[in-house]
Amino acid sequence: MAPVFVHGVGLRTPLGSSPEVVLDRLCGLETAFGPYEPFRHAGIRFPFAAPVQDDDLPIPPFCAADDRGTRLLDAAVRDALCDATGARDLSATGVTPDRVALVVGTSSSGIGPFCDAVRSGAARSDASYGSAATLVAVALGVRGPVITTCNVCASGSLAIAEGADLLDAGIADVVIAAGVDPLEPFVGSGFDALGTLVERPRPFRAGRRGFVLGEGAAALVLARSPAARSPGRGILLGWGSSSDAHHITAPHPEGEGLVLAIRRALACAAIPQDDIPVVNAHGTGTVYNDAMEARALRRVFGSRAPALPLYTVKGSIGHTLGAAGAIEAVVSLLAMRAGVVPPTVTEGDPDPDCDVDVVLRARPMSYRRTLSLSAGFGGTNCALVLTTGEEIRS
Amino acid sequence: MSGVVVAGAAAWMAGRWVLQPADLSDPVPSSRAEPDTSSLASPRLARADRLTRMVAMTAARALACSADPSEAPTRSVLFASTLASAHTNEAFEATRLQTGRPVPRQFPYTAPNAAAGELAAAIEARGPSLSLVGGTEVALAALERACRWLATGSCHRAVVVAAECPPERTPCLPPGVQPVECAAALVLDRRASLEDTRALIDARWASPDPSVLSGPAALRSVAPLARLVVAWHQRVNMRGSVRSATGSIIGATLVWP
Repeated sequence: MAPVFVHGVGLRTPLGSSPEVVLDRLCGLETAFGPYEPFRHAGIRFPFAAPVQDDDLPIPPFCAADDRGTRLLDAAVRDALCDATGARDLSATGVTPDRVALVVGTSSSGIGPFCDAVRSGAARSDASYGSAATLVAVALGVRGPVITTCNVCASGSLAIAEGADLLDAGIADVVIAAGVDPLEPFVGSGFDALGTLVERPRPFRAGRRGFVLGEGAAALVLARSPAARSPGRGILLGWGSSSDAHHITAPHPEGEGLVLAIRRALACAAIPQDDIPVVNAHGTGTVYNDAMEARALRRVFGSRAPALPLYTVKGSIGHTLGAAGAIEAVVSLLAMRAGVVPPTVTEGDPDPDCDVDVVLRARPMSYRRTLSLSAGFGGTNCALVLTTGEEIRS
Repeated sequence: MSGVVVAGAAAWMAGRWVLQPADLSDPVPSSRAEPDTSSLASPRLARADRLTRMVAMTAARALACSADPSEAPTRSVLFASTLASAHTNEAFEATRLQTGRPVPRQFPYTAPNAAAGELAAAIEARGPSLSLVGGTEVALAALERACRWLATGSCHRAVVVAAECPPERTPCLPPGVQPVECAAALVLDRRASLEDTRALIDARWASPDPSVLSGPAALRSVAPLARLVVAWHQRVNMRGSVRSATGSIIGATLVWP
């Protein structure tokens, strides 16, 4: 696959909306968790979450105030367009709207309005997982493909990968790839019923039991050629995805699917495994995910795996589900450019089942590549190889 | 025309198999016939939600038309829908509101990709997998994606399934349109040789084809794929396109050599 250039990024996270500020706060070991009233009201046993602050969540004129998914998506997409072109719409992309595609990954956007209809016995509901992408595409005037990928926790990564493939196939000249998920009591109740919600997550440590949910959105403006206006944010060098074909909630214990996704991503990027210096892990903090991920890394990277610097942002902003892969891709690009491996907020003793180098304090380091991993319900996996792109530009 | 062929096809609507064009012209509301997944050796499927069982049953019937899947080492599943898990979402939410306690085993099936995940497990599909949600164009978007995966060698066989399982109490269709349970599946292989006599299939964004491939509103995303399934069963050529709500156009072509 030809490299895909990231012209601009947009972020809406529980730690803010400025990419540089978000990275600083991650590196400062800040967390965004707190008691969350809608979860308490829903009777959730661990009513904690990491919401996006209202100041970071404008209400566009085409969208209802309670449709947080569409609000998050619209804000992140316009931020990314502004970062890439200087305009918060398509006017400065340099291509016609029929050559612009929007690919959005989500797992629960649209559920809130649908649940409102169920609760109120409304005459009908138009809300669906695809509503946010359609509303934002219409508002922006996107006339190329508009695609919503619903592969739960891997949705955001897969949206980026699918966007890259649309470019590679010549179907679009500019792709806006995004991941988004709002906090929904519906989703919180479900994870609570499965016993995976906690007050504080402990990714990759002994005694971990689960995660805190977060909400957010990230968007990336992608193109086949370098940005003319700015240095751009980096490059997607390759990607790979797979299905575990094992179980819809439990990951394959040996990480079979994730191994396949990583190897496909490395093959797509045409680089050997020893060209990966840092891993941005999925790292949910569940017993099974983190152990599976460590085993998968051991299978791909062999004796290098325990010394490979690894981090996850889920200890700071929670598990943002369909947004996670996109947010983590953006954080990966920002961290490489800043010359730092962000830390993982966690606690407890090391777990022998997770034999990985979890970075616990921001680690200054000059590196050019990051492997960003996502895995989710349904046994879906996605791996992205991201780079600063200096060697390609030069 | 890409080198992708149809190895098998099936469509199910309102409790019966669809074999001819008339079956699609006048859909009636669901008969609530139970989807039978016994042909797939997966005990979990029997406990899955209705959408997942519909998807698995329809895919199994399409797979039964095709040759030994062991010849396709990397298999992919692509699922397309407008409503996705809305049927289970409604049931989960209604129970949560009424009792204050959600049903844990129902929750995994509220994931919009649960049906694809269960099908992938049942047929051991470890290739790339995608679940897409959209309007009437979404099944052709999945078909287009499958054709590209096959063309680039990302997988050797792709199972494309579109399905709709409407919620029971919360209408999601325009006034006057009765929802219909429906599913359609195509099993796609890379064309083995020029002597391969199976139907060639292709799908493209920005198709200039003016003929319309969509069908009754009650079938939503399933109609375009179901029409291709019927054409395959009837051994006739089919071409057409669908315009999405945002104005993009995607077309598909099925041609018998």
